[in-house]
Order: sequence, then C-alpha cells, then structure tokens
Amino acid sequence: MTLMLSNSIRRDIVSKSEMPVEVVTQFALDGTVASDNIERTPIDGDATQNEMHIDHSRAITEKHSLQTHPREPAGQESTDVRDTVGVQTDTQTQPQIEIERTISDKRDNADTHSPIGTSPPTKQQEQQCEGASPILQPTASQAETDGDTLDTGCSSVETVLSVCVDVNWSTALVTNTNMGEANTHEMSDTPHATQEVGSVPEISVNVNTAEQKTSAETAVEQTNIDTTLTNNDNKDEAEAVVKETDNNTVVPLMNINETTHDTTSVPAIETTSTQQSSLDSALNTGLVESNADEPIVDDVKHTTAGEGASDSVEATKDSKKEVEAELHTDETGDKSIRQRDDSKPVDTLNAKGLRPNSEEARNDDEAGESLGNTSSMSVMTTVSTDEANTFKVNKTAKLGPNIEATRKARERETKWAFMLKNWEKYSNCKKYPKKYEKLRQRMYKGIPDSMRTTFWSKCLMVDAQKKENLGVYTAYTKSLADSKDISQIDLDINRTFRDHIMFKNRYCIKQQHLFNVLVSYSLHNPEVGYCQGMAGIVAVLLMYMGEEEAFWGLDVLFRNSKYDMHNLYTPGFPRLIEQWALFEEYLQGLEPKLWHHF
Amino acid sequence: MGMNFTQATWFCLDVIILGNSGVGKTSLMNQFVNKKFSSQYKATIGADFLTKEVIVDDRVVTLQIWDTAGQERFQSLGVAFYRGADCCVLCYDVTVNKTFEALGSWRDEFLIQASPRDPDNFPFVCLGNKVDLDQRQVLAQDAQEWCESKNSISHFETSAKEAINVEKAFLEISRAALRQEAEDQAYTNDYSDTIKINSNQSQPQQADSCQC
Repeated sequence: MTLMLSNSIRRDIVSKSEMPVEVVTQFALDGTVASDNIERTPIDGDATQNEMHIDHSRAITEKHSLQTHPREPAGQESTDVRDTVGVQTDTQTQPQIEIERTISDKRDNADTHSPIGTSPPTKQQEQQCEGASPILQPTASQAETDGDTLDTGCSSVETVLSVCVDVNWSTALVTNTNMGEANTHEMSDTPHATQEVGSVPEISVNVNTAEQKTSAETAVEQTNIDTTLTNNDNKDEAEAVVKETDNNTVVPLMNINETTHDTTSVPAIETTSTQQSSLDSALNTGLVESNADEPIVDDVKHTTAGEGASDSVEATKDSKKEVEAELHTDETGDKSIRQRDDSKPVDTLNAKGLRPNSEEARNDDEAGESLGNTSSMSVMTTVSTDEANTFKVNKTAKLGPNIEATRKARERETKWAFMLKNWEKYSNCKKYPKKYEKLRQRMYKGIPDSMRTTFWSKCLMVDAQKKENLGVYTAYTKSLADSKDISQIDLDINRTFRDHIMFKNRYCIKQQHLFNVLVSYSLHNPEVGYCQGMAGIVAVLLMYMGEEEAFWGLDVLFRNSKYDMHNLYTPGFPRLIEQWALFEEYLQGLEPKLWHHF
Repeated sequence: MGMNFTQATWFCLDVIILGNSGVGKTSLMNQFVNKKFSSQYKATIGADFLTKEVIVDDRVVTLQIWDTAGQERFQSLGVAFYRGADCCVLCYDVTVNKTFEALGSWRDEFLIQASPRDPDNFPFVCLGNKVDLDQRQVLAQDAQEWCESKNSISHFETSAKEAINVEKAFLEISRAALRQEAEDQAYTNDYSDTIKINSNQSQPQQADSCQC
C-alpha cells in the first residue's frame, strides 16, 4: 500500500515534470539543454527526488530558525559583515514569484525523469543497493535523522548511494593522503543506517494526507498535461494518476470554492495560478487555451468576485492576447517593441511591490510540498500545516496583487521564451540593436527562474564548449585523486548552500556534482586550482545546469576576458586587489567623508 | 582595519583567530558572540569580524574579533588583519591531527606578518575545538606540552557546538589582549609624550595601566 501510494505520487511528480521539459525543448534552439535534462541517470533522479521530499520540510523549519538566528538580544553590540564578501547569491533570499517556483520545482523534477520511469531501480542500483524499495527507505530514515547531525548522521540510502554512485569521490578521498579521517568516518555510517530500513510502514498514514495535498496541486494540472504529453507511456501514467487523484482532490477543491469567498479563497487561486502556468506552457506549445481554460477563469471570478478582482481576470485575458500578438508581430518586425514599451513602468512597479507577497506564496507552496513529502515526520507535518495556514491568512489580505504578480510573471516568461527561441537575433547587437536592447532591459527586470537554464547556457556558450572539448570533462572525472585541492574542496562542499534543497544532504547527488566539477576544474586550470568562494559559484550554476555544463560554464566565467574571474582567484588575488584599489578610489571621489572614516 | 579607540575608559581589543580551514573558527566566534551554533556556516572568504563588549577585571572592553579564512591562499591578504592584533587565537580540530601540527606554522606566520614589538611575550591562546566529537586524534596532553614549549601559551579544549569552555577561553583571551594593549599603550606613552597635548582627560587611566 505504501509503495503503491508513494509510487503514484512519484509518477505524479514525474508526469508533472513533463511540462517544463516540453517547454524547454521547444525553446532551446539546438535542443541540447532540454535533452541533457532528460539524459540524467535514473539514480541521479531517485536521489534528488528523495532528497527533495525531505528537504522541502527541512527547508521550511530551518528557514524559520535561520531567520531569527544572527540577531543579538538588545544591548549587545554585534556586527556581522560576512555577506559583504560572500559570493553566495540569490536562491535563498531572493523572493521569487509563485509561478516561478512551481515551474522551477517542476524543472527540478524534470531532471529526474528517466525513460524507465522511476519505480524500477536501475542496474547499478540493483547491484549495489540490494533492491528492496530504495525509494522509501531514505525518506523514512532521513526524516528521522536530526537536522543538526547532518555531517555525521548520514542516512542509509544517502550513504549507500554515496558509496555506490560516487566511487570516485570516496576513492579519491581515501587515496588522498592529506585527508583527515573524519571523512571516512562519515562514509562508514552504512551499517548503522541499514537498521532504519524497517521504519518504512510509518509512512503509510502520512502519505494519505500527503497525497491529498500534492494532488490538490497537481490534479488540476493533469488535465493540461494530458494534452501536451507526447510520450505514450507517460501519458498512460498521467491518466492513471488523474483517475487516482481525482477522487481525492476534486472534492476539497470544490469545497474551497463554494464555502469560502473571502478568507480562504487562496487555495483556489493558488491552484489556478499553477494551472495557468501550465496553461501558459500550453500556449507556448501551440495548444492555446482549450478546454482547460474555462474552469479556471470561473474559479477566479467565483472566488474573487467580492474583492473586485474580476478586473484582473479581464486583464489576464488581455495580456494573453497581447502576448499572442507579440508572438505574431515580433516575427515580422519590431512593431511590438513599441507597444510593449508603454507597459514597462507598470511592470517594474508591480514587480517591486509584489515581491514579498510572492515569497509568502512560495513558502506556502513549499509548505504544501512538504506536506506531500515529509512522510514519517508527523511533528513536522503539523508544523507545516500551521505555517501553511498562517501564510494563507496573510495572503488573503493581498489577494489582488498576487494575481497580478502571477500574471506578470507568466507574461515575462512568455516573452523570455520567445527571445530565447529567437536567440540568434536577440543576441546580435549589431544586426538587431533594438532586439538586443530589449533583451538587455528585460534582463534588468530579472530572468525568470524557468528560463535561466537555457539563458545561462547560451550566455556561457556551454554547448559550444562541450562540443569543442568532447570527453575532456569525463577524463578529468576519472583522475580526481590527482588534485591537491581535494581535501579543501571536500571541506567546503560540506558548507556550501547547506540550507538549499539541492545541497542539503551530505554526499547527495548535487554535492557529488559540485565535488566533481571543482576537482576537475582544479585539474583543468592548475593556476587557479581551487580557491574558497568558487564552490558558491559552481553551486549556483549547478542549480540550473548539469555537471558538465556547469564545468564549462565555470571555465568560460574564468577564462573569457569578458568575465575574467581567473585573476580574481589566483594566488595573490591580482584582480581582487585591483578592484579593491578601484573601489577605494571611487569611494574617495564619491563619498570623501566616508572614505576618511576608514 | 584594526582601529584602536584608545580613550580613557574604553579599550577596544583586536583579537585574531587563526587555524586551518574547517577547525571551527567561525563557529567559536559565533558561539561566543551570539551564543548560537549552526552546522551550516559557509566557508569564510577573506575575513570577517564580530564585536562584543565584555567585562574583564571590572573593566568594560570591546572585543573586536577577526575571523580569518583558513585556506592558505588567503594568508596573503591576512597581513592587514594581523597587524595591530592584541591577541592571537590559534585553533585546531582535536579530531584532525594535521590541524594541530599546523599550529606552529600559523604562529610563525603571525609573528612574521604582525611583527609585534616583543614576539616572545606576545599573547597567544590555543583552542582545541570539537571535543564533542568522538573521533579524537589530538591528546590534550600533547597539546598542553606543545603550548608549554611555546612560552606557555594558555590552552583550552572547547566545543563550539556544545558551548564547552568557549566563554572561559574568551575571557582568558580578553585578559591576555587587555594586558597586551595596556603594555602597548605604556610603550607608546613612553616614546610619544609630545603627542599628548591635552592630557588631563587620559591622565588617571594611564597611571592605572602603567606598570612602572
């Protein structure tokens, strides 16, 4: 029972993931980025997915504990200037619009998609993990592991995986003489972990509630997904899921719509927005607002009628037309640019005003995810429910703007998708200066999360690099132990974005990628080797790209004269010192008073 | 950098924490200043500092604690931070022998870069961190012996996670720094009388701190 349920959820997620893959394939010119996502190994997928299950919940609880962390009780003077030097960037702090969140989540899941589906373990897994539902074990045991004991308390499958998947890492560490024994201790947690395998049954209860929540979010989408799926197997799966989930979800949704007009209308809206995001994608893929559109608009009208938000529904429709219009006119000329220019100030205003609000939405979203995925952590589940409720209450107050934000976000995504589709034109500043300027301006407004993978890859010429250096990266990964920076890298991975979903668990798949990329790069560019601070950059790249792509992206960042990060990190830090001097000069010129203070 | 606001009643003491990467320098500092521990500190890049007011021997002093990056490469940037320090804290990880063995070179490096007036008597405090972990590699006795050999540096075994000995160690650090600062001031006073034009304000303090 547990297995079946969880599998259905998993299928749920996988089928959900079809959407973004579709979208990306559509807009990546050469298709490489999208196909790379699909090519990831199933082990990779399973691991990430499992981690995401737990990590969502942890992310929430720990986010909250972190928020209160650095401040000192009044009366004590403390200054923290850490972030002035930190390379670490947005993912934690930058508020994202709800829709971006859903899409990025889906994209993450898209990474995990494999043609085999998720349930049957791959050969490698079968050999090394001894079969037996590797899917649930980590969830159970990891959930029991306390967050504080991250380093030593490796969970079963995490450890097993780290042993079996990353033979390179462990062997590299062991063979490296500099390595402290602490690391091998961590690796040897396996026997301890296998004891926890028995805890699987606990899941069953929670999975039930979990499914209701996740399916509440996904079921609506399923109708859309059905139409966009191309893969027959997955279509079958998706349909099966729809049947399964419908029973659970339609009822609560209806309830929400009919019983709550003002206070709790949020959930309906939320699902609507999710659906609209997929609608958006449908719009992109050419399946313009068919059957699925009507119920949504009804939902919105129904739930927000009392708040005069029906205007925004109209607006949504308008914007769709506008976007469509752009899709047509842009191909013929630059007409649309002038049209769009008028709306720009509104855009920015909204984006500014709405950020915090949408972050709440995101938290809420996360809370939902955690509900769906926490499994055996009953305490955690209640906590997140509470959180979800409070967020909902908060959100109702700002309902109108939220819809507006979603609309803007969708619009922006469509624009970006179009630009990326016509990348040759938009990136050519000589031939198409207007288009280029457009791209530049839109960049300042923020690149939609879902478009970053493609956009960054294009900017960093990842595909070209990869083609040019076929097999080079793989060769590096086979000789990781040659690097003299290996122990420092290992130390730093342990503290790179540990509160981020992807890097949360020791020896999880993204940590392995991070390790591989950094060590390979230290071999590739021995002058730089490894310098603290690089891990953060690679980690951000890895949040949006695969291992090899991140490697070549990093190489471009370092060696291309446009970015020239090479001299920022070489011993002696020549460029850093240069920039420091430059900064002082500017400071002296612009803020002489402040400068004298130093 | 290390500015000293040497007014009559207010001492600002510069303390610098050195040690290999990952021994827990940032954690120790945060445990002392903020009374918090996180297993998720990021690697310190360059340097970082926190301040805290403490009362040492009935005197309010402000500790300015400089937390440095452990990676060797950053030592070239360290000079700026080393200079003007009143006390140097050498950290190692009791579960990694290598970090203990590196203490000697950290000490030498500091003395070279900071070039204090009296290198032999410059106050160091040695902290063996992570005693909460089981896999100990460095024996307390060995560390104690090493500290004795280096002009009897004070030695503490701490745990930033469990807040063991952290308070005690930093009190000793403050004391050592205060002593050093007082000595420095006495030294400065001896050779730079002419600068003190308006001396009526700082008179009692100097009398207090001058050991002669």
